[in-house]
Amino acid sequence: MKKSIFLYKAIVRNYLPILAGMVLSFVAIIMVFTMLLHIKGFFAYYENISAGFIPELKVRLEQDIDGRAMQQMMKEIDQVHGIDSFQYGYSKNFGNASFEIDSGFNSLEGRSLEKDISVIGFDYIADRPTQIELNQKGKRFNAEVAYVDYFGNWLINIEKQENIRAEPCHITFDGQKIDFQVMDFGSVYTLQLRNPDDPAQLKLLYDFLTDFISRFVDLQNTGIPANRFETPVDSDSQIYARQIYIKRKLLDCFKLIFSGNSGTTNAMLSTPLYHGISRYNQIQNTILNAGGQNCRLRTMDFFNINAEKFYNNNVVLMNYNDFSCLFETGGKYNLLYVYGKNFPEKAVVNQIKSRYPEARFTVRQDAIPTLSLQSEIFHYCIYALLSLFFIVVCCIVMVRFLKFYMVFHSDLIFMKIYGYQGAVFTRLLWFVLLASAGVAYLIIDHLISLHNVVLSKYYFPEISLDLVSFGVPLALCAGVLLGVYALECKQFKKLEYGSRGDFS
Amino acid sequence: MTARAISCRNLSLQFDKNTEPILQDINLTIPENSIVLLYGATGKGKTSLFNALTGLNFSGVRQGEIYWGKRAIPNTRKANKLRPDFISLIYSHFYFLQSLNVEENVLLPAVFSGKSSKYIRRRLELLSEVFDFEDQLTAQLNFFKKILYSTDNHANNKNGNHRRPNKVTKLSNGQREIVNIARALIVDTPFIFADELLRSYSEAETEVVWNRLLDPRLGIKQNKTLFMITRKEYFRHDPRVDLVYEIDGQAIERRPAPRRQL
Repeated sequence: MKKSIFLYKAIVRNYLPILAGMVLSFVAIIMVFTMLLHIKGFFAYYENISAGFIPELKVRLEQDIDGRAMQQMMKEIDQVHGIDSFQYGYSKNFGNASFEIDSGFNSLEGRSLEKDISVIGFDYIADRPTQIELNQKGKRFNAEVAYVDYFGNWLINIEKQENIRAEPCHITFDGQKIDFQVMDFGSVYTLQLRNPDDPAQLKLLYDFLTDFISRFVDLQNTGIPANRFETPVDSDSQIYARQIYIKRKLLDCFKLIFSGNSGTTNAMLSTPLYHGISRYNQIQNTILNAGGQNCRLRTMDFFNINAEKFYNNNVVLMNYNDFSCLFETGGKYNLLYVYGKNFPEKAVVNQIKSRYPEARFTVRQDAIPTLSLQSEIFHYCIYALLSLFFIVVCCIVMVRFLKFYMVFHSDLIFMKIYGYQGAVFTRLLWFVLLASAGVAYLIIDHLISLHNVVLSKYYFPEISLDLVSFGVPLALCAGVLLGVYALECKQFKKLEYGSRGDFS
Repeated sequence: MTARAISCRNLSLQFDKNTEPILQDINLTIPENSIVLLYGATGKGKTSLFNALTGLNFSGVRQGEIYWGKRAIPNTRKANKLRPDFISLIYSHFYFLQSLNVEENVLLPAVFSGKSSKYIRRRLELLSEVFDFEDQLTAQLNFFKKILYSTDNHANNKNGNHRRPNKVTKLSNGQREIVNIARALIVDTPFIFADELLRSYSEAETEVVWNRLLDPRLGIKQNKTLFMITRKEYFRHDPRVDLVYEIDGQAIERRPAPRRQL
């Protein structure tokens, strides 16, 4: 015969309705906790839309340094401090510069006012791999991606190899096949999706392209907003609009990374510049007159860089290769953007300063003080709510604990006399928390899977249960559990026969 | 553990600092394998002494030491640890766990002290045999098994009838006395401490139950000591009693044992 059965019959059985109530309360509390922590993610999304391009730390080097030194420095910083991502390149301020707007018919439509314009060229590719693995007739080939474009369907240009033929091939991504047809376009091969009408293949291709582009640029920090002037034409207009947004975002990034037409440079402009020269937010061919040079630009889109005002109001962003060709940097760099939420800024600054004492640093908080204030207020509110719920949890547990010892006082003394030593309430609370966590996890997981069905329909990336968001409430509950255990040990020691007149 | 005796040295009990101690400088020894009685009027400190000697409550102990064998018992923590193997308790107010049925209440000490199922079954059978009153004067007390179970003839099971465990709330005081004793005897300990034993019974009933309690199969006087707090004069005349103490003022006096009177 087991003690636990007797314990169950003597105490737990009578306590089951209250335990069930506690499980329900804790399920609700854990879910609220998790949801509140999830809301932080929404703010991060808003923040990204507003000022995603602004790095946590911007470093302007007074001297030009070569690529290897920059890579080595970033590698060391990443190893020690764990940054999310970084971009480095060259920045040049031209003082007064203007745009000539090209009508496309060999005539100029007009000229913009002269403004203080800075041009940034980021080295997106640097030493990052641009190869993808193709599988053709059971043979594997590494193909160099030369360009990615969109003409009704996605086109992935790869450099010609003798081994690859203009026949069907596939890429394996996430354990699934994406079927392509290799097309011969003279100087390059182009991969085209074989079943472009298959939503599953299309989604997989988006995922693959997103994954591929993430090698070069942190999509979270592009700050490229949805194009509001694209008109949905599909019956399911929202899905179509979403497809367009993703397509545009990917396409813009690809065009920045891989230089396109010779003679014209793809460029993105900061919001005030773009609105100044673009009609109806359409792609424009322009000529930038800066520092006595004329640069033919294809201005694709704008990036949300209002907060760039702190640095420069008017920024032109292009690939470093183009920048280097136009302004002859000689393979040198002078600009570094460091992205990441949890790296120690001061330590990184010190590390860079030790090597480049004259470097100038700007932290995100200084660049966008209003946003960081909003973020601070928002986070304080969330933490205040969490603290409030935590206090509620503590109160619930404390009241239950005291009531438990009032109701079962004599029974516990009696069991103690016969040798029972154990924190009954803590054990029950442990089971309550375990059951609550299990139920809450199942419910949240189910809700997220329902949510993901909707997200996948609109081609949003699916979200997964953030284990930190789920773990924090559990850790808090575990803290409460430990507190209750300490309290109960003390209380159990105090239980003494006849102390409250129970046995007289 | 070798059970020699339970004793106290210079024990003083006082519950209120502003009043005189109830008992002062008590030196008492309860030897092994004996029956020891403690008499005293109401409010003289019998139960307080009982609680102190059994380590149930030390709140009144102002000075002195208590020994179980050679081990000093300074607090309830140590007492709770050692008691299950050393002392069985028969309470004056029974005290049962209402959520458990009669049988479970009887088995509780054995289960919590970690006895095996086989041991518990053997002890339960022994108790059933000893406390079977079928052919006795006190048949109205019900047989021990009848106290534990009701037989439900209408129950639809393989044997045709069904044993249903009784609830403690349905027992009479006399039946509770039996369950109280059985609960103390379910574990084989060298000492049994009883507070106001058999107070619910008439003299004739007391005689029957008392004789059963002293059945050689239960081992009292052979390998067990029974220490009883009582006011019943019946026991004072039983020649099987070895020692009689009586509370006299703040002291405890030893009285002549019945055997010597004879």
